[in-house]
This record gives sequence, C-alpha cells and structure tokens, in this order.
Amino acid sequence: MPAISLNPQTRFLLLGSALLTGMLILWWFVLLNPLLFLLRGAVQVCGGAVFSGRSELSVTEAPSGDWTFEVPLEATLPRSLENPTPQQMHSIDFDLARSDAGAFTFGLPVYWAIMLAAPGIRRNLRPLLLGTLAMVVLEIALLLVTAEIYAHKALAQLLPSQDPLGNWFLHFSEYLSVSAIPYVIPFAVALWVDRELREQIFHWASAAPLPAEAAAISAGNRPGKRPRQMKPARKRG
Amino acid sequence: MKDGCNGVNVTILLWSAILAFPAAWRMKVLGLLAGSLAIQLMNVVRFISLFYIGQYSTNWFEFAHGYLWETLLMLDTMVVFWLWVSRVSRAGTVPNAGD
Repeated sequence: MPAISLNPQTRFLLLGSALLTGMLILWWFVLLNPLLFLLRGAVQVCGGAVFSGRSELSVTEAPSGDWTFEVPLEATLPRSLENPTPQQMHSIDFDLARSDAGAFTFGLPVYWAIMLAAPGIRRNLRPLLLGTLAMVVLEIALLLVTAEIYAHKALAQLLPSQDPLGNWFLHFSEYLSVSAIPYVIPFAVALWVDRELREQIFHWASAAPLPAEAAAISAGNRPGKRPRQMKPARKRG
Repeated sequence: MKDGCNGVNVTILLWSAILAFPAAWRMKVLGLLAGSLAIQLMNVVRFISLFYIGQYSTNWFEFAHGYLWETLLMLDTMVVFWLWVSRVSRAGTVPNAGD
C-alpha cells in the first residue's frame, strides 16, 4: 500500500490536534490535581520571595477546591459611614475558582503536544526539556501577576473614588492574564525554543544551518539539493 | 455566546501576525480574508461539536469549551499562518532572519 504523503502543515495540524486531544485528556484526568498541588506550593514559595519585605503571601485550598489568596497590600481605606476612622490595610483576601487556577497548569501538556508534533523533535529533545522549564517558570510568574491584579481589583472595589482608566486597565490586565496569555504561552515558547519549527513556519533563511542540514553539509551535501550518491571506491592498481 | 466565543481573539492574533510579516499588501489582504474565513469555519465546527458534547455531559462540555477547543483554534491559527507564509515565500518575498 503506498504511503500517504502530507505537506508539513497538514501533518502538523493532524498530529498536533491528535496529540493535543490526548495530552489534554491525560491532564484533565491524571495530571490536573498533582499539578495544582505543585503550583500552589511553588506560588507560596516564590510569592514569599517576590513579596519579601511585606507580609507573606498565603494560598489556602477550600473544601470545594477553590483557592483563597491573602496578598500583602498596603493601603488606607478612607472614612465612610460604616467606618468613621480611616483604616490601614496590610493584606487583601480573594477567592480564585479551581477552574481558573487550572488554567495556569494546562499550558504544560499543550506545550508537550506542540513539541511532539513539531518536525525533527525526535532528533533533538533539548528544546522539549528547555521549554518545559520555561513553561513552569512562566506559569508561576503569570499566576503571581494575576494574584496581584486580583488584589488591586478587590482594593478598587473597596475604595470610594473610582478611577475609570485605572479600572479599565485592571479589567484588561485580568483578561490578558486569565483568558489570553495562558493560551498563547505554549505556542510562543514552542516557537522560541524550537529553531527548526520557527524557521519552517517563518521561512527564515538562517545564517547557521539546522542540525539536520549541518549533518548533510558535513557529509558533503548542500541543503536543498539532492544528496550525491556515493559511488563504491574503485580499487587502484 | 460571549465575545471570546466568536473566534475574534484568534482572528486578531492572526491579523497581527499577517500585518507584521513582511509581504506584499495584496498577499496580506488575501491572508486576512482567507485566514479569517478558515478560523470562522473551524469555529462553526467548534459550535456544533460543543452543542452535542453539552447534550452528553456538562463536565466534558467544560473541558472541551474551556481548554480543548481553545487550544485547537490556536493550533489552527498557527497552521493558517504557516500556510500563508508558504504562499508568500512561493510568491518570492522570503525575509531573512536578520531583516
């Protein structure tokens, strides 16, 4: 039976879609809970370092699975009818739904699916490992940024004076950090770490050859040309 | 149906990539139109599949709506852009890495 030959784009789309489906099912049923546990621990450790000098960031899990953040934030609430004297705040609490927290872990299986569908990954696993590390760092950083945004949003609701531009900025930042960036990160990291995928998509002619091309050049072939057929050495004399 | 469900976010992403890529304006316009159409077609498939998944199970709907289809649309957008760049390069305007 003749093999079906697909162009690289179709192959990447079909293989990528199948791998994405498989990886995300694996994540949904197996990896989600352990990754959420690890993420919560990592955010507490990293948050302690980021917010050092202020009170500690704490994340606790409710029985429902939702997370309660206590983010250090210095602010003074002005006088109001309920509080006749100004009140000094040192931290602010808010809840993050479990499904929203999960959005900061699903980038990892998505990244693995893209990389495994990318051409030439079997020759070089380094981008896969490097990208996984980058994904972990970026997901933790993004959750810390999101916690800071939510804390400022909660504070803005407590303050009587409303700043429309500031509120719009917080709303837009929340949209980016929860609904846009987590979905873009795995694709951006894949393009960043995998030179072969990047050069195939953008059709960039790079100065240095790809690993596969370098091997062909060192064997006496030029990329883009048909490889010369090796003739058997003729015995002299 | 919310704003994000109409595929506008990935369409904006594709438009940004096409407009930022060095190519002839005719090719860019062609890419914007054909790319948007491809994304919208994929989004229609998404709607239909989500309707049937929603009839079957709320949990599977949440999974497919929140994660699976979002990333499949991103992958589709990436491939649409890749196809467009291939077309541009065949037309003879291939940029170099240093440009």
